[in-house]
Amino acid sequence: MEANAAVDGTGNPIPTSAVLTASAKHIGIRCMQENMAFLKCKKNDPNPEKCLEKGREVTRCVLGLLKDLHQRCPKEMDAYVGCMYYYTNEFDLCRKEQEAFEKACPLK
Amino acid sequence: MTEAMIRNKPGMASVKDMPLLQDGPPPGGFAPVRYARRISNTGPSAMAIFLTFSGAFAWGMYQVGQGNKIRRALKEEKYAARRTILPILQAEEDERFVSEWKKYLEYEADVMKDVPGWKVGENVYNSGRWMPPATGELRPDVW
Repeated sequence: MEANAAVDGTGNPIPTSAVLTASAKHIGIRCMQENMAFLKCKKNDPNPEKCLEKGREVTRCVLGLLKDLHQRCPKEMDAYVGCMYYYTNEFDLCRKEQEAFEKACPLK
Repeated sequence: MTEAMIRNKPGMASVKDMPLLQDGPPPGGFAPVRYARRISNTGPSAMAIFLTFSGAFAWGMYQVGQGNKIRRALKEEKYAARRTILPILQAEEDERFVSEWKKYLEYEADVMKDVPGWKVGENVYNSGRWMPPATGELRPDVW
């Protein structure tokens, strides 16, 4: 499995750093509630056992979002993830792929 | 042929009366050579030079500020992306840690089962807050 693949053999997205930074803006908009709940829980008590449920919500939301993005615009997402992998998550060097990705899968 | 035979003048009594053969200036003398300073007083005044310099400096600093604004926006974008993916990374690490910690507690219970009065598990600090384990035993692949 190459390191710049966005999905594994069964079509599930792999949350590598390239994939996560490529979808970071989408995650920030669509999973904001879960993220905020998890961070608030962590702030109250850093014990990982206490925030497991909220963590599972976060993982569910983000992995579902990644799968949804990959299903809606696979080619643009693969191109963007490949560019991110090549340039180690440098946004400024991948503007073209970013624009194509956001045109195909718009940020709502 | 000596000089006396070449340069002689009729009626010469001795060599000392020979006509002179010298390297000298041309007749009428050389043309006059200017050696005086001629630094003209024209050109921009001191105030003009100072204002041009200050203007260039101010414009340059303004460009520096604009560039900093752009760079700050780029950094903000990078940090915002990191902030968004922090929760999922932490959640994944929490799951992994909890399963490792359970295994470790079972191992501790197994090792210390014959020690009287040993409360297995949470033998940590007294402040009441949860602290991550201080040894490197739980991440042997890292340490």
